[in-house]
Amino acid sequence: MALQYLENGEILENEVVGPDTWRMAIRAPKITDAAQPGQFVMVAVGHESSDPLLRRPLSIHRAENDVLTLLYRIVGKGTKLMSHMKRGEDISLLGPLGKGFQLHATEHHCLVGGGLGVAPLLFLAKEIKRRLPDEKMTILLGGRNSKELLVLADFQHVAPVLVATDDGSQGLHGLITALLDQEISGPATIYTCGPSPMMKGVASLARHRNWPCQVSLETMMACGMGACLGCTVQRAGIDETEKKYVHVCKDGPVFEAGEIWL
Amino acid sequence: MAVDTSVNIGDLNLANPIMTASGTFGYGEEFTPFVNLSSLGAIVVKGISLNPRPGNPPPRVVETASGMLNAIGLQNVGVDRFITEKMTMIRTLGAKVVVNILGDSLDDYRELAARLDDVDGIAAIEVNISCPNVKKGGVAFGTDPLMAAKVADVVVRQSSRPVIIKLSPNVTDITVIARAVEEAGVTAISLINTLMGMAIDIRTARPKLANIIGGLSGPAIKPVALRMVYQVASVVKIPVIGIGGITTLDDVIEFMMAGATAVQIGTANFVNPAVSGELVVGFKKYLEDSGRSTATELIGCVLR
Repeated sequence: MALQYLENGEILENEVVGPDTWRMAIRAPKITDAAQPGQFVMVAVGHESSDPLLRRPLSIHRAENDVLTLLYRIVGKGTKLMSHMKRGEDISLLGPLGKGFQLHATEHHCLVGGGLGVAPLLFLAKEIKRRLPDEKMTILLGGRNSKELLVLADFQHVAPVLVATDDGSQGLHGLITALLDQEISGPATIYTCGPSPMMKGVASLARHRNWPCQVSLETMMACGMGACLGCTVQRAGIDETEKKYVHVCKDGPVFEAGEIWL
Repeated sequence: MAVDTSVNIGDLNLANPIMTASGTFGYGEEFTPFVNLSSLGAIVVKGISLNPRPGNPPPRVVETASGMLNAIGLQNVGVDRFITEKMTMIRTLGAKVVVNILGDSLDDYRELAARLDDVDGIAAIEVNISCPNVKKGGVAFGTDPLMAAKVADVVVRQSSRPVIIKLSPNVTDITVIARAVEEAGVTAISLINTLMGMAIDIRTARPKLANIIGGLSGPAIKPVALRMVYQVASVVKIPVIGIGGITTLDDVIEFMMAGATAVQIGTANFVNPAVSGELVVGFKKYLEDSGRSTATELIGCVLR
């Protein structure tokens, strides 16, 4: 089994980076050192209180020099509490968890992120650049508007970035799938994370173009480590057996698009 | 001063009263980075049925105030793969292992008990009777004293090991069920399984669980569980194992004072995977600090 740790990290930074979106940097050497792109951590947000009870699964946004960075959106009580945490405080992390992106040599790495789905893609982009420096990489980012193109500059430091917005306030006026369809030709490998309709569209285009496509999923989960069996998604083409479902926490969160029903 | 942390569930001696609850600890393997499994009183593995079960469609879990609802649907690999694959792994863990079983019919329970009786490395059987009885229109075995006693009877007859019956709290009077299974000859009673609950997403106007209804667990149910443990321990002579929202050392002590011989840690494993091991250490220290020499002194303090 891959190394997993329960680690108390020190918060180095917790700041707003977009609409309801925050970035937290945590000194957590053990988890940072073991982390792979696409993996996640379970974050204790409730201090010693029982409400909220469960940890929150958050994908690893960056992992470098003993510092783990998380990009998160305030969607409920837990993430709200997280946004109130201050520099210098401790935060309990469990990780790194799950199966991340598989990196293979390919002619063109295309990273496609929508909204908060960009979170795991920055770590991935940096790893591709570090491990496969000679290979072509393009990053496609989408959001409702220009404000929702999160941490754009961080991506631009790594590779060429193309953008699409629903309202046309920046880049292509339209869906990111249209951008992908227009801009990418020839063989490519797709890595995508974002809202479920977006990933469905990206996976469908990838299938038509014969591009391998990895999708990073998010679900409700209680434990993050394969014990609660709460975070299921259905496998494609498998009937009523014990193999009908896979678990996002252990079998994923990154899957080959053809492996599951999106 | 040396203290004796051990407790007995019939002939089964546990090094301490800390167990893990079925369905919250996988088959133990996932927790090895965080807990020395051989330090625990015992682990109870995920419930096993005769045939593999895929479980319910998602969403299967939802958080509620100080608790969570689950409708996993008893997903498991089935008894054949459990014996050939899981038990082989489990035997290497060094833990005392209780196997939890569940069925749709009396025949299921009988066959499961018989199959597992030939398998090495099992310390006891725990019987989940909260599942629907398919032949009786889906009424849970555990809600009818007669049916509960019948299940207890068939498992006890097939099993040379201690048999623990896990009671459902979704009944009018749990002491009636407890007495019925005691009479059928079980070694011990564990309680409570989850309380039936529900949550609705008001934005979509749909239930939050695909199964609509699920089982509530976590600190929210602790007072209910404690009350039921107290009630059952008051009327039976066999050991009682307390389950329900146990998270802290204080919770462990409370359940033992209410009459529990041992306890099972459930939902707390999801929040802190190291918690069971921490409670073992904390329990020993508690006995030392409180001037008690044995764990058994605590059991049922408030009943006397």
